[in-house]
Amino acid sequence: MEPTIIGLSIKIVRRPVSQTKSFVMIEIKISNDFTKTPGARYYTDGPNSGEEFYDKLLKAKYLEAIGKGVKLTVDLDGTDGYASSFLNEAFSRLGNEFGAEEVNRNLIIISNEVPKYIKKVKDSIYEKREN
Amino acid sequence: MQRLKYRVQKKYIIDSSFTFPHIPKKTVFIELEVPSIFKLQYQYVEAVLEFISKLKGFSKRHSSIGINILMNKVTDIGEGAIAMLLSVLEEFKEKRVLVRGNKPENKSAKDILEKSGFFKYVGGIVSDQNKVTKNTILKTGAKGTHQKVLAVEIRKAMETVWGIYGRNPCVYSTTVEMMRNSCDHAFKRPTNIKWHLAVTHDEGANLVKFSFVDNGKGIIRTFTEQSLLVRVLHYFKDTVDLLETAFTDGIESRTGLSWRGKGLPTIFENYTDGYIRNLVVICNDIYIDFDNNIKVKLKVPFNGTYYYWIVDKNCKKACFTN
Repeated sequence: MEPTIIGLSIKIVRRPVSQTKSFVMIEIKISNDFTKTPGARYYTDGPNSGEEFYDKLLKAKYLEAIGKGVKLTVDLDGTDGYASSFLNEAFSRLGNEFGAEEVNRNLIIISNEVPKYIKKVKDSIYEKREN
Repeated sequence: MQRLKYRVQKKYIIDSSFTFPHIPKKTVFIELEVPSIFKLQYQYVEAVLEFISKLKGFSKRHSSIGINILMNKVTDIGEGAIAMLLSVLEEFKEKRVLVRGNKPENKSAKDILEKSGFFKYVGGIVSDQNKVTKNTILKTGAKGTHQKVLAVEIRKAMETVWGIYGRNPCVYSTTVEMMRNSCDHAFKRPTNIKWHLAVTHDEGANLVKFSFVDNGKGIIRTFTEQSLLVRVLHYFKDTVDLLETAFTDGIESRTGLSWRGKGLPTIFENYTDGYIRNLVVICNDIYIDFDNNIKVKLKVPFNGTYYYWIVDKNCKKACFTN
């Protein structure tokens, strides 16, 4: 039997991302949004420190994500690399300020280029800071 | 061990390869002979450190006495030793100590010296064939030296090794940890922070050598000056054991101390992961060559920290271009 060809007209409606909660994503791509050449721990260590990253970007984006009820994605790929002190300072501050468990639940770390950075970030989140 | 020779030279030397700052006429020079094998490999290191120690002894400016560094008898030279010498000369420059010196007569040694980037800082003529080179020596004059400069040199290194101008995050992090450590362990005041990083390309062998040196207190002296650590020094056999444990991230587990410093463990991790090879550390009176399992105390200490490592095709490939 010959198949019957039925003409179909499909209209694709793209809903704005803001109207669908599941599509909302807060993301930091450090290489684009902060620097390609991260520095060390403190402002006093020189430019692009972990402390500066936390103050200027990470904390604000985390609060934004929490406010919208979504997770924050931090993409570590694309930079020239990270000193341990950069990652430790930024993410231990985050964990200590907002609670390690909560931060762990609300954070997605992408690090395809150097996967071991993910563990360093997680360890830092759970590190108890003295101050 | 080769004996160092130095003697006062009363005549005014006209033929010299480098001088700084302006040398007044009738300056009397103290001659200091550089060891003929000027390399930091274990078998030659004590002669080099003895020379460096003697040289540092002349760090006080005298208006009519200068130092004449004789390199003419050098037959073999390494970029690490060149960076170490340069780091001392840079200190002299700041103190306006009068310095001059000559080049090796041996062509191979002279070429290595000329190509190293040494003459970018001390002045002097570089022959035309040695002017075109990817080799360089970076230095910091303040802690603000931007990592961008380092990032470019590492990309060039990856081009030599892998044929691709790209990022290597693990080599970058290794070097930033060393720079950071020089801030922590090297100097009393942040404004005094000085390090030199020599990057030497061997394009034929697809190999790049890195030599990092600071002239500060050194890791061990910093550790042993920290009152907290002094109390637990008995956990370690000796300072060699202490330094090795610091690299292998064992301070906390060995002593029970909360130990936040991850710089040295990160360097060691990048080495054990295979991103860098041939890691050598000289710090105070300790020499560690991890590849060759040499962990010894030196008779002549080095007041500072020196690292050497290479990246070549035997390393784990990490080279990103996007």
